[in-house]
Amino acid sequence: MLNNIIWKTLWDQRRSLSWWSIGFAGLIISIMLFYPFFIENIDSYAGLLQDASDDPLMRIFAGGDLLDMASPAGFINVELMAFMVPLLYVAFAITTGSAAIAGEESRGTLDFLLSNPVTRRQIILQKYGAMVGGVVILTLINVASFGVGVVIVNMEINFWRIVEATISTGLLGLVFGAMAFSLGATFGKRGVSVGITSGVAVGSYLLHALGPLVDWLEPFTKISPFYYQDQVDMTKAGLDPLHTAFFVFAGILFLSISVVFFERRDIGLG
Amino acid sequence: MDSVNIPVVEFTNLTKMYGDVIAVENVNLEVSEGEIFGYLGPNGSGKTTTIRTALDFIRPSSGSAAIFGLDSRAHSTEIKLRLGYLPGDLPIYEKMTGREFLTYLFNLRGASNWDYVHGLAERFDADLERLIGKLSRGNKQKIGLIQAFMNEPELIVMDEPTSGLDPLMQQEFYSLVEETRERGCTVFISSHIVPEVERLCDRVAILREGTLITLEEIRTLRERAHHRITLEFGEPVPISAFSNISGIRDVQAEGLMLRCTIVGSADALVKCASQFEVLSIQSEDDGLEDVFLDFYQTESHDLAK
Repeated sequence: MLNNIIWKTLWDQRRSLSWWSIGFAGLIISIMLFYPFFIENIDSYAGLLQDASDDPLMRIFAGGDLLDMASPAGFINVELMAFMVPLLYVAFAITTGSAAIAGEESRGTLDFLLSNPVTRRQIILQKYGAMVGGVVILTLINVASFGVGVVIVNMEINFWRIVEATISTGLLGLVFGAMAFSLGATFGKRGVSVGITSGVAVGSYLLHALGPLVDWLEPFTKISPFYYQDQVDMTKAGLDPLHTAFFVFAGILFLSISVVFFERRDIGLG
Repeated sequence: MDSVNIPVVEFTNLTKMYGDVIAVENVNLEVSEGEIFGYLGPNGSGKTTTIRTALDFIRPSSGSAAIFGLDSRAHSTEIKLRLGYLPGDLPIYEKMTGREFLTYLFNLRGASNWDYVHGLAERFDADLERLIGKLSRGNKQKIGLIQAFMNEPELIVMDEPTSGLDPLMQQEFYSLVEETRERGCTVFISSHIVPEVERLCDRVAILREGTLITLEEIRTLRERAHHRITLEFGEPVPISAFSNISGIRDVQAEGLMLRCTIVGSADALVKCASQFEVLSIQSEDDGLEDVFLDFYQTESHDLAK
């Protein structure tokens, strides 16, 4: 396990990755188990959902189409894909991305890494690889958890759509992770990386959630990464290749920024 | 190219500024193969900055550093393949055991002799099974030392290598350094512990406020050592007869005794004393501690050659 920086970084995260996995799986499975009870009582929720869907404040915490919550896809969207799952992904990715370079640097251990025959570029690529690896592991856990949920409550849904939506949400998280990573690689300060990226994440979520309700915000919604997250109700075509390309492009952009600035700057002493 | 003539470490006008603050200014020095070189200076004098610049962790504002004749920036990876490094203040992965940490670095360096690592661990009586974060300062330092030596490098750079080590382990470290040198390794030690440098090093550079103020063989510095001399005369002698001797300090007369400190040769003192009846002479040597204190304290311009 300890033969390169990718494996070692993932190995370092073995405990935290386990906790994140338990968190994700617990959330997804318990919400899915709630579906049959929700459907049974759907009539009593109808008025509430109608009111909520017109209320901007509610829209902040409940994305997706509230009026479509009776359908399996609509339920998964509102309960999981529009808020909780992206929130957890983004939180995980920012934590991991900021720790990658800035975390080692603030502990001073980057000096150890750099005293080995590895280039700065390799350090960036491998650390980035480990962050992507973490997101991939969690995505596999999430897909498996959805699978368990779908089987237990016998949900009628195209499971491939859930897989695609999970991938899209993972990529969304990764974009914020990549941003945190590049800020950490550029400035070497974990606080700066976490602070700025969290701010941008909250801002772009609000823009995405409230944009459609506020006329002057509407044109800007496309600069929010959340706009490009494909949710489960991609009934017609599935994962949008352009949306996916947006995430991949943003990820590569932040990776390139990391390489360029990290190669040029002085490493801090922690 | 004849590798014997290429210095292992070479700084050329090495300068590092942080904004307007000069951390290291115009340092020029060469360390040749097989040398044990001491890099001395008070805290904050720029020792660590020089080392970190030479290893390409930070970039020089001007000038350059070459290791094994290779530019430290352009050939960073090739250099590090042949290098062992012990950072000061030992930052370390707290949540790894010593064994895990050493395995990781062993793999990153493509080292091949795990038996040697084991030998070092036994020699320093290092605890490889406990989390490094739970080790005492000295035991942590042992892990740091093992990793610096473990790939049998051609150059070992160490920043305050013995901090936290008990005297027994310090001795073990000194003999390891000497053995390592015997197989041709060059050792660059940054330290502020004078007896250690005096014991180990062939040559020292002294740094003060970022500037190299002296570069000497330890042997030459010993000639500047302070000798505390006590002379006993057959009759009381006038202090004034001694006060103009070059290198003399702190002259005190007490009855028949005359006490003074002399820097460098005692020749003039002895010749001066011979005009009186000398009953006995005692001389005590302070080692190099005072010599270094002189360097640290005097303005660099005033340093009498």
